[in-house]
Amino acid sequence: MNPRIKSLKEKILSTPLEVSSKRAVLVTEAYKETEGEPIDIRRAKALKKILEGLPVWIDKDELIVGHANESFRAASIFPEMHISWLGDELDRLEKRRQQPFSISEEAKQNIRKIIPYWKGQTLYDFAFKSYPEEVIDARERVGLFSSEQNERGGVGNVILDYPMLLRNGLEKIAEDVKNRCDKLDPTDPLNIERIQFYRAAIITCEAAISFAKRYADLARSLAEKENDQKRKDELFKIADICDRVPRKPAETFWEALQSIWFVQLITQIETNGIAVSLGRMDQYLYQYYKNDILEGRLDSEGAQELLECFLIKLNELVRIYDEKAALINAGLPAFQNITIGGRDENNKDATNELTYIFLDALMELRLPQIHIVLKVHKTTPTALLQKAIKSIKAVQGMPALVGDEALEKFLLSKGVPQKEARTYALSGCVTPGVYGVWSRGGAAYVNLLKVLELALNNGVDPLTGIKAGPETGNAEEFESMDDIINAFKKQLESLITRTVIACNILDRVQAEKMPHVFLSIFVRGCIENGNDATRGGARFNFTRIMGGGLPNVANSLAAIKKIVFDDKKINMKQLIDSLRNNFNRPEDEIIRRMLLSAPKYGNDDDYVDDVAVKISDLFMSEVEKYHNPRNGVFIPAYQTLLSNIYFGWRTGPTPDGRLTGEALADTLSPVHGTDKKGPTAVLSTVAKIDHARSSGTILNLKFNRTVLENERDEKKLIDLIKGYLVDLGASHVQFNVISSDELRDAQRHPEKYRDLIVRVTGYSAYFVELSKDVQDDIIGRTEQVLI
Amino acid sequence: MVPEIMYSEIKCVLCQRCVNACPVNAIKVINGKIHIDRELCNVCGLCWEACLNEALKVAGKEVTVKEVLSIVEKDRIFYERSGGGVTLSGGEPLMQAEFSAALLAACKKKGLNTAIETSGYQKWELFLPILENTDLVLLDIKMMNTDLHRKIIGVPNNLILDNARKIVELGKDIIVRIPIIPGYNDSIENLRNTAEFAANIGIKEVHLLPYHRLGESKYNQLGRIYNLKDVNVPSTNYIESLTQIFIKNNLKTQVGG
Repeated sequence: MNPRIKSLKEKILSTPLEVSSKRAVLVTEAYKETEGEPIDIRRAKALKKILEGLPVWIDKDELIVGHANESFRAASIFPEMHISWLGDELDRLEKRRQQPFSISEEAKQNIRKIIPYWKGQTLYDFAFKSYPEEVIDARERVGLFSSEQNERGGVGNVILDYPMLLRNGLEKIAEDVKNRCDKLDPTDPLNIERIQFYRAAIITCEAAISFAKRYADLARSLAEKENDQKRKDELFKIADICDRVPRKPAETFWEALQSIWFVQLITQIETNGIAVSLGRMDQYLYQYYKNDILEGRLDSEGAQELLECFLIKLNELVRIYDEKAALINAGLPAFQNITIGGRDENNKDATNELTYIFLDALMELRLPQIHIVLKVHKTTPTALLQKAIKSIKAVQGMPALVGDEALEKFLLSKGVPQKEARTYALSGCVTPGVYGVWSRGGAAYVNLLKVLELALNNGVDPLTGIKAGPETGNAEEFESMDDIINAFKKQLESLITRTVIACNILDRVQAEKMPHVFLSIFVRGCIENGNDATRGGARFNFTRIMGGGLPNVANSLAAIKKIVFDDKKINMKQLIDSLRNNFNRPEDEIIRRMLLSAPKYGNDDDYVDDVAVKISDLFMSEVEKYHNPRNGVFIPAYQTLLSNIYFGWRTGPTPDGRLTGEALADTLSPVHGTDKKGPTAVLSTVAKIDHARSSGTILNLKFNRTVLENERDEKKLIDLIKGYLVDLGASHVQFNVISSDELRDAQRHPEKYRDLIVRVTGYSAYFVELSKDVQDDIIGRTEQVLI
Repeated sequence: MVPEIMYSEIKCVLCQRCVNACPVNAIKVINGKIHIDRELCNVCGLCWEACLNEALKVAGKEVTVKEVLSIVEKDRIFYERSGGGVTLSGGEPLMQAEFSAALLAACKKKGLNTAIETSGYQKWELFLPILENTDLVLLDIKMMNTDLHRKIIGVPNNLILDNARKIVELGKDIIVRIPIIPGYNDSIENLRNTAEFAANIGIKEVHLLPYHRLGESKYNQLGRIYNLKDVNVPSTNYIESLTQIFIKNNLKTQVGG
């Protein structure tokens, strides 16, 4: 590794997590100054104020510049979105179980000072005041679903149109916006909001250009003082680049990366949006790379160095969540997805030199916030897959792999034109999208196993006694599987209804209180329509609901079918009694063993897989019924992050033999320890779910390091990957390559494993930064053996 | 071949439900351990059903060709991609020669790639029908000295070596596999003889399989005595050094299967 990169990486690794109050103070001042102004303008002026007030600094090793805060690993606070939680947690931030942060006394003081101003006035407060009681009950008290993510921060899960930025530059974009604005008839009431949005957009463009200018000036003054000639030249060069971009179109690879970084940084300073994604970087950067090479400005080593400087930057965007959200998002994921590989518009393989350079950089850096997804299709070169597997081994599961066919089909079914669908990219962990998709990535997670629990308890949550669903009958009297499925279906309908209400209310609150003005510029459709992304300006508008616990539901229903109705070993009453007794009496243990011995999801056994498919179809059909305030539709997905652990806490004993509090299955992966027929059986089971109907379907497999030692083993894994993603048409698979002994050792000796990265689910994190619950969950995933 | 009950001491909590469940009183607790009288046991499976801790299970079951085939078919999509297929392996497919022949024929009919992993110890008349539907033979040659072979393995090796020649003559793809068991067959002399024999009869590839102890717990669970307790697992470096003997004889050599 070159010394510059090594040093930058070390700074990321050794800088402690810290909370910064800078942004919080600035945004509060801005809001005080702009009270009564239209919200778009307020947001734009707030961004301007922040960008003028943030400290600018350039580290001596940096080639790509621009920081969100005064240190490499500091989290900003977004008080306009949610702040009361921080008031509660301020004094125990350093000691909390999940993701502790350090905070200076001064920052604490600053935050305490601003809290009163925001009381009752944050996005979170507005949303909460709007939710009906039954929605709050279902979510907060019963744990039927979770939809907190977008009420505590901005909306992300979007692929920004960086090719457009690189082509035009902000100056021209602002000019275009001004022209559009000037053409509007200001007497038409429909144009009032458009004009406000356009004016706000121009303010943000100018603010971003000025921010870059501050860096240009700083670089120049540093250069003048610099004694080392080489660094002096670099600083002058940085100054020139920051003078030009993002204002002007990018002309070189370096300019392109710097321009993107400024915008990537500023959108997140603006919105705190999770999963602001970068699209197919190997594709749209290629022309800049190739030109530089042809004209002798750059060689592939230089390109890799610049790229690594850029990728390291992505790790600076640190998020802080309240403790509960921190659990679901363990490991500080920012989900800034970079897509590589795949096909071009004409269906040809699109791999180029940069595709490989991204993998080289990934392997060299081994940093968790570099989230790369490789699109796999029929003609993906074997050499590329070989390199990907080397990287998966070195970086614990990165890149993630997705199958073109399923995701293309999904997008086509949602009205995306063929050529765009073919060249889709990913946002978030593995959400398929194109420019102009606004999909409220983590809008809601629903607890399907809790739905079954309600179906078996006539709509009453046994843990809290709260009536959380309709009365669907006394389960002790159910006479067939149909009775149970019907009850499940009614409970599901009721849950999805409430989830949709929560999502739609929040959507309206976002639109009204938290427009994403600067970010919207890069969401195709918004400028054209003169409308912010939160208000439906994007070309495609979805709201995603993620199904959690499907494997547990399938296992539970299959166990009831087998033990109660087919083999008639016990009756429904005995089963319900046993569950109500939490499997605690001696006779319950026998019943629990019977339930555990029933066929289990993940073994390519249709007895249970058929149930999984049926329940999945029910869930998807239910979600697909609804539309959102942005003139778009609800779409299902299976990407549950770590909600499986949270939902596990909220769910009592279940007929799959699961005990109270145990984590649910990790998205669509089999329940820990129940897949006994090897990886092909797991893949075959999971592929039975309709992937082309789901906006992302996560499967995590863990391989022991020892089974991927040589090229023969790697070849087997490539065949397995292609079999799953190409032949079976599945959408995503990720691997952890590690031994559970290693992980246990890392639990005991975290100091030795500071840079050990694991796939958590859909993203990577430092193992030692995860809480023990999450660590145990990862250790528990069945290790697969390739025979 | 009959199914047997396997008993895992680690999982057992001595609840004695199995003792009560056994209709022929074959299970007793002796010295704080479950003891199965395998003479009496008729493998009815009731003990296994009674066990709450998966400490007991039935190893082996009777299946038809059709049943096996339907399981094999499930992974077809992966075989097609990898050029993989079905391998009949241990126990010993030649001990159920007729069934193996029928199963392989059925697999071939479905267009699947087939292989067998075998000791090679079977009369040619029974071996040949198996080979007719086998694409790849993985043949164990454990040692070259007939007397030692008789003494340690229990049978002479002439039949195995003859079969090896005939398989090559048939034009079948064949790989010789040599389990390296320290102190038993890892002498330089034996390995050199094996290499020369293989090269002479026209074999192109060998696999050296280092001894491992993964089978030990299964022996215990089946109530059998594990005789190789004192044998150590050979080191990677040691095995790598042995490959030279084979490479010198122009054999493609690989460690592990």
